[in-house]
Amino acid sequence: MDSSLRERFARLGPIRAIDRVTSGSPAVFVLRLPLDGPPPRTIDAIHALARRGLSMLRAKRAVESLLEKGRVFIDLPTVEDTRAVTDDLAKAGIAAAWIQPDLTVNVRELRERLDLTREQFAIRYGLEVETLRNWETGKREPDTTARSYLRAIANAPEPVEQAYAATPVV
Amino acid sequence: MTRWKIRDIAFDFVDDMTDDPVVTVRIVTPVGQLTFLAEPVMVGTTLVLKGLHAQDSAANAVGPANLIVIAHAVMEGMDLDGLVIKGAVRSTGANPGH
Repeated sequence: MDSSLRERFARLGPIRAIDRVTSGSPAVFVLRLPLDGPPPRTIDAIHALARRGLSMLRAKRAVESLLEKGRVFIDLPTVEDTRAVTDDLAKAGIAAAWIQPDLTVNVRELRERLDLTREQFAIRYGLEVETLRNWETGKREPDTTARSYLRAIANAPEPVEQAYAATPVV
Repeated sequence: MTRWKIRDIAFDFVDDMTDDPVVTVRIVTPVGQLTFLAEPVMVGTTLVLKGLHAQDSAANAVGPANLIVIAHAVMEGMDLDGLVIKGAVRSTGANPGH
């Protein structure tokens, strides 16, 4: 909160900073409200998320969205231990599961499954033949964006092709 | 239930020390601890607490008269003319999630 408001609150009592986790990696979780059990301790849940690098406001919005929808995905910037997050949220009455990233895509296997040559695959999905060759031979690794695109192709080759083909040429 | 005095109540706050407009307050009362989290905004000399969340079992043991004592403690301590509380999404009771 802004400093003038902080000064007013400080007249009532001490203000301390939230105890943030200082080192860790980003991690994605899906949060669910259990069907039974006591109501969630929303403030503890908000603090558990804010401690892992979300702003307090984003943590609050995430928990409020969970209360409305029953399920929410959350990307935490600084997770020291995924078990610690799920434990903290469980104590707050919220079921959380870590979504393990599966970013590996075997490009050659994907292309062969679609029965396409490198040239055909490249034209169909707007890629360069040389880039494809580098990925397939292991000379280079696709970056995060490319891996996400390849995963989309692997999961839905025809809709992705149609979506790409529908892109207007400027 | 005995009506408390303002001196019976103690406050401490947790802030993320940014300009993010969210604050947590822990209130120690004669019946136990209450915790609230909200988005505070000053409108003139009135403090508006938007999207208020409350937790801790003491919340049901306070009673309306002592809630007013807490409100007076806040208004006196922060030199306010008014205090407005707007609740957040329900987590219990009728129609949770709204």
